Amino acid sequence: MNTFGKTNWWEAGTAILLFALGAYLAWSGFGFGIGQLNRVGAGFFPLAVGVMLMGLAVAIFIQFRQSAAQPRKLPWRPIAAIAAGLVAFALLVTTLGFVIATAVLVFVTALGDRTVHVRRAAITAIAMAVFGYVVFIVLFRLPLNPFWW
Amino acid sequence: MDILANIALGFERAVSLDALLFCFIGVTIGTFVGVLPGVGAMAAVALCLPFTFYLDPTIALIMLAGIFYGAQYGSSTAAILLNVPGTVTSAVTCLDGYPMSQQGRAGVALFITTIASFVGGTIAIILMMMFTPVVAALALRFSSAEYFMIMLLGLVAASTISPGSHLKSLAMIGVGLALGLVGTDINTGTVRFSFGQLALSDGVSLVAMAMGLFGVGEILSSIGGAPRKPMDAKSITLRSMLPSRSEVKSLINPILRGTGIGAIIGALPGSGATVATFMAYATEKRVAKDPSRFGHGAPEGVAAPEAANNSAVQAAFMPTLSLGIPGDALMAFLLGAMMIHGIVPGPRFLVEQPVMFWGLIASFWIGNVILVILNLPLIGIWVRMLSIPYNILFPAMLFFICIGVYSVNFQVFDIYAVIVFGVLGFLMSKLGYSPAPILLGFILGPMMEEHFKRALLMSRGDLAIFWERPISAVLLAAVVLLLIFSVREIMRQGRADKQRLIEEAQDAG
Repeated sequence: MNTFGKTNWWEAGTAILLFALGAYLAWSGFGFGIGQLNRVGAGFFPLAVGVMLMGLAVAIFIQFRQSAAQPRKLPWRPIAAIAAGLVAFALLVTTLGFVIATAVLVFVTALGDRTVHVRRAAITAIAMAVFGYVVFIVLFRLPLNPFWW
Repeated sequence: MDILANIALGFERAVSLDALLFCFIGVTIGTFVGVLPGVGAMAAVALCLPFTFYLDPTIALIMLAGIFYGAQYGSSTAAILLNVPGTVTSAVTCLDGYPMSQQGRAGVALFITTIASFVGGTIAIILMMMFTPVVAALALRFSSAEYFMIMLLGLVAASTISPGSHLKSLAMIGVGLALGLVGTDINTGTVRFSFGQLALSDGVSLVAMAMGLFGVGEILSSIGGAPRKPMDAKSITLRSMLPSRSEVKSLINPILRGTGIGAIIGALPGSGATVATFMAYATEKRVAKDPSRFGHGAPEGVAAPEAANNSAVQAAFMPTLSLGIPGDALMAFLLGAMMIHGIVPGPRFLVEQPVMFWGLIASFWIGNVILVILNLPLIGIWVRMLSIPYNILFPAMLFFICIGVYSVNFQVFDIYAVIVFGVLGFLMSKLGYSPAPILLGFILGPMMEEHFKRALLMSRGDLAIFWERPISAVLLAAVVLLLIFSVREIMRQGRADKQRLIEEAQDAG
């Protein structure tokens, strides 16, 4: 494949993001106050780290912008399922309670794997909810509401 | 002898009932996660940390450390039987371990790894007992300038010794340092980079970060991998495991060489067990009379890296405990865990907490003995574990991640942080950025800032303090040398890449 001369936007984009992070750190560093050498301010380290990151980002950009490496296709299904499951747990644990939150978390994340059957995901979810209730509520006595009442 | 009295003190603590129990729990969890591919030691230690908050700090450390070295034993089981390393440190074991199991010698390979691991671990523990107090005594005279330089050396070494692009590792250290900045600056009280989030004013949660980067990240990379074929547990009996007498004799030297390499590499700042295993394997191949046997089931190719692996893992505790400076990401995490428990590792740790220090070291050896029992007579249990389907395992792990992260502060924010770090860690590793240096930078960053400020306060703002003190100057020279080496390596890589691209372009045209 002829890749010479073409910009690899995955690599270049990461380098640009790193540069932006460095610039942000350095700029905030000035805001916090650099101080003097005998009285180093809160902004000195952010500035130093920021400058270092900017330099590295430039070097990475130069070295990798034409790299032929392509990330394989992103596994959207697992990413979406795991994110959704964790968000659901975060939302449910304070409202509907720990047991429901666990069951939903396990069920939703299990669907992230293409090979899983809905029935197996459901069974795993119920089993984990029971296990979680026994271990963390009954045995460990975590101060969590098991149910919504 | 002073040391003997201390060792006796340590064993006294380590054989108490609670210590034995949690040592056993730790190494069992360790073996379990080690055996299962797609669950690393890092994720397991991070998972268990929140549950140790209720324990006595010594016991908590014994358990967390047990998970860590227990995983090294377990991971070779998966490497030998399935050709999938349970953790990265046993990637080398696959090279000769899997061919051995294909030749029907899986039992022998498992036996060799267990014994090699035990010997490597034991020798490293003895070395640690002898040298840690020496290093700590030396370190008592260190000032902030030396500490800053050792940490800088550790960070630079970690990025230049590790496989992969040096530039990208250095950048990840920078990201780690940046994350370490979040929160309240202890000297000035300035709140930095909290973005108005109350949850961030204490800094980024170490547990959430480790679980995201390593736990969720690993799960994302493992889902959709090749389905594992079930193993026949009955075929591995204790009798089938015993190697012949001549084989045992021929393995003594490889095991000792591996142990030596592991102990040295493990004790150096910034280089972990993975590097040690690769070096041990390469050494065996070089000294072997017939190098062509390697890769086709040479027992030395299993014995030496396994000995190196375990000896490096034990030796890595030396700089962590005596200087308070972690060598790799896992040690950085354990250091963070100790600080959460209110223990500050470092030269004073040995003097002020002798029972904890020597008890921990004594527990290492007890843990190694338990591991031999777990991995030889009880190997069948672990082989059966390999048949747990991943689509049951990973939702369960995510549940433990959630409950673990949430139970630290009961802050929903931390769960969202796990998602962000998980996706970030996964994307970064896809682009060739390894997440491990992030953790190292995150832990070392705040300590470095503190020591840098203190050193300059001491010298009244004169930067010369870093090269006028002799030890600091030597360390600085080492940093500069490593950086020069690194720059040359980067240039060479860059030229090679360009050359390759030009050739490809010519071929295509």
